[in-house]
Amino acid sequence: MRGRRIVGLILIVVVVAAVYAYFTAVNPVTRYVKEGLDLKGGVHVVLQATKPATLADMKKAETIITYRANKFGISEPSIQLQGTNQIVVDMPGVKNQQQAIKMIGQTAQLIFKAPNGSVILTGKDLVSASATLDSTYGPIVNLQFNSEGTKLFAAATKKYLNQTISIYLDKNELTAPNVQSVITGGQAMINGGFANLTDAQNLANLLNSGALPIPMKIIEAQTVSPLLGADSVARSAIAILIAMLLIILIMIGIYRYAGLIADIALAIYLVLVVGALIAFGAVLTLPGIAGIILSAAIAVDANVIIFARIRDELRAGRTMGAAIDHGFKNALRAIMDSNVSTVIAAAVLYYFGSGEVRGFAVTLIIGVLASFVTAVGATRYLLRLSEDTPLVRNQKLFLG
Amino acid sequence: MPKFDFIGNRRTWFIVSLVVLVIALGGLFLRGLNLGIDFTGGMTYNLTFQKPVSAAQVRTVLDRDHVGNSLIQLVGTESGHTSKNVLIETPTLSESARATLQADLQSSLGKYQIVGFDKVTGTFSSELVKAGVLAVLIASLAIVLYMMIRFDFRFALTGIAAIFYDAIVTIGLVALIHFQVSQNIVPAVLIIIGYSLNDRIIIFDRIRENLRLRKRGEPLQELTNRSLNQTLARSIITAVVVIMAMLALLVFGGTTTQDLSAAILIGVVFGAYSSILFASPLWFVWVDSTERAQAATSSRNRAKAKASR
Repeated sequence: MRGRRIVGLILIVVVVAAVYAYFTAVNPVTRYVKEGLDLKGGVHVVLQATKPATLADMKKAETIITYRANKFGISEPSIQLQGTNQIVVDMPGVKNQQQAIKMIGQTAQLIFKAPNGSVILTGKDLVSASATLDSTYGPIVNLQFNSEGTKLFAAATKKYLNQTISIYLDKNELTAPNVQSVITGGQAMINGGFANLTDAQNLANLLNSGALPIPMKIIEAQTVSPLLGADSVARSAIAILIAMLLIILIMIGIYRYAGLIADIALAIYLVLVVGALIAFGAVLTLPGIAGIILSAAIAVDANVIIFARIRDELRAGRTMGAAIDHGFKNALRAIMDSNVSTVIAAAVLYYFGSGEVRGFAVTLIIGVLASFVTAVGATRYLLRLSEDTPLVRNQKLFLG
Repeated sequence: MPKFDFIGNRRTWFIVSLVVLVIALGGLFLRGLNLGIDFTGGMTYNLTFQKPVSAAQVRTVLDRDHVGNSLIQLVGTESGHTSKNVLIETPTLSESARATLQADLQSSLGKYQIVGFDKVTGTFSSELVKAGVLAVLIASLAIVLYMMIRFDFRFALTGIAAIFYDAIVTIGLVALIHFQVSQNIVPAVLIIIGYSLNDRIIIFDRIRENLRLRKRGEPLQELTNRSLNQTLARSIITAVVVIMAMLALLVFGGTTTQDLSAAILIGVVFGAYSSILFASPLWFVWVDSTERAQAATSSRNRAKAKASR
């Protein structure tokens, strides 16, 4: 039993060390983290409607531009409405400004093609497209053609019955529905292939407007260098390393063995945060790093609170095992209240905030959750495993 | 456990807090924030050098001419580190400063051609700042509500007041010291508010716990002092850890993140200060006066009851 606990402890330390070694030396984790415009640099474009625009128009334009940006193969474009009539497009990592701008500004062309590749009709024959949830088919998109389109579509569906008609946006095939009957009413339905209603809605939006619903002009386009500047990224990285080293040393200096345990918990915390960022595909920005720094501070603080409580309990004459249990119990309420209120505040910031603030809120929420799991859960577990080591009998060495 | 009489000296600390606040507000309104090119805009140069240069080389020249906070960008780097084509964004410079900079660039880095020169507007609009402030205000409201449920409205209101105190003092002192701020100020203020919130809750939690265990007749002053002394070690250790980390960022992080680490440093120092010496005494004064009023009423009632008997 005693032996097994110590083996478990060593095993955890080895695994954490191995994870770090692998993701820094062998397979750098930076490959998987998506960096925002401020960290990576890229192209920043602001489009402005040249006529008064409704919110619906702007939303539609946003969808179309998002589609275009994705089509361009940009890893993580960020498209946001700004004010009442502007759309901000950030394309991290894009170097070719001219090409990016051309792509953003270009008009998408909707084309219906026959199986032999000939054009049946185009976007100008379409009156409207709308998405609904059909009881049989799930999410569908309804199409309504104008009189010219109705005639063309009727002829085509007659000719290509039981074959597929492909719908293209620019050169990309969006969908290729099978013609199941001759359609003379100028109406068509696209079913299948939608994950959800939003998916169908997006296609409807795109179909509704081969072109942007309102004329938009590019009022600002610039190639942005990383906010830190290419030359200072390396310096910042070194500074962060030194800061982390300092934290590790201070914790060991004050809490000795328990401080080391807290450092291991902090190491696990970082793995969880970075892992979650990658899993959610979150984009790391400078405010995002600020959120990580704050939650790391909260994680360290949680361990400081816990250790202070354990010391209180020891002073009250409890044995180490009992002191650890009571210390955690007493510290938990304060840590919970602090964490919950931070998460609530961050959620509100996310809901009401704009890009900058949102990046901060996302990493803060992830970070606080991770800090709770590690600073409370992992530290406790590791201290439990340590209860059998001879160290536990030397209070000075165990907790400082 | 240390035995400092924080509450007994509250008048002194209120005066200190007030003086700091006045100085900070003075810094903010009389001196104003020293806003960088993110806010104010500036000038961009598009230069083509005859020989490839690195960003670090350009930075050295800019540092020497005191425009080290400029943005440098290499266009079309082949090797990734050097390029002939360099974009530099500087703050708005006077004619003579511009002439000096242009001459220095040539003497240090060789001949170049100015391909483009433009005045640019700030990328960081006041609209964004307003939206951010609004989001923070709504978040504060959520915090107050949460603290009212978990603590009570006195803890909630003094807590949020002290959080705003920290944020305002930090921004004010940043204005007073007058180092230039970039849009980094936004994450900095968010960190300070978050740190401040955490610190408040940890200390208020101890007061709340001691209130629950309060013996009949224990003076509130003693109880509050005890709570602060019990949490003092934690307050100091946590603050020291964060301060050391920020000092490392400040010293080794280079010019572009200095405003961020300096602002956080100020905020953490005042956060630790205000939890103990501003928020808690404020809470004490409020609750103590309520308790005294209640005691007076009940003794008056008792006296009345006695008299009527």
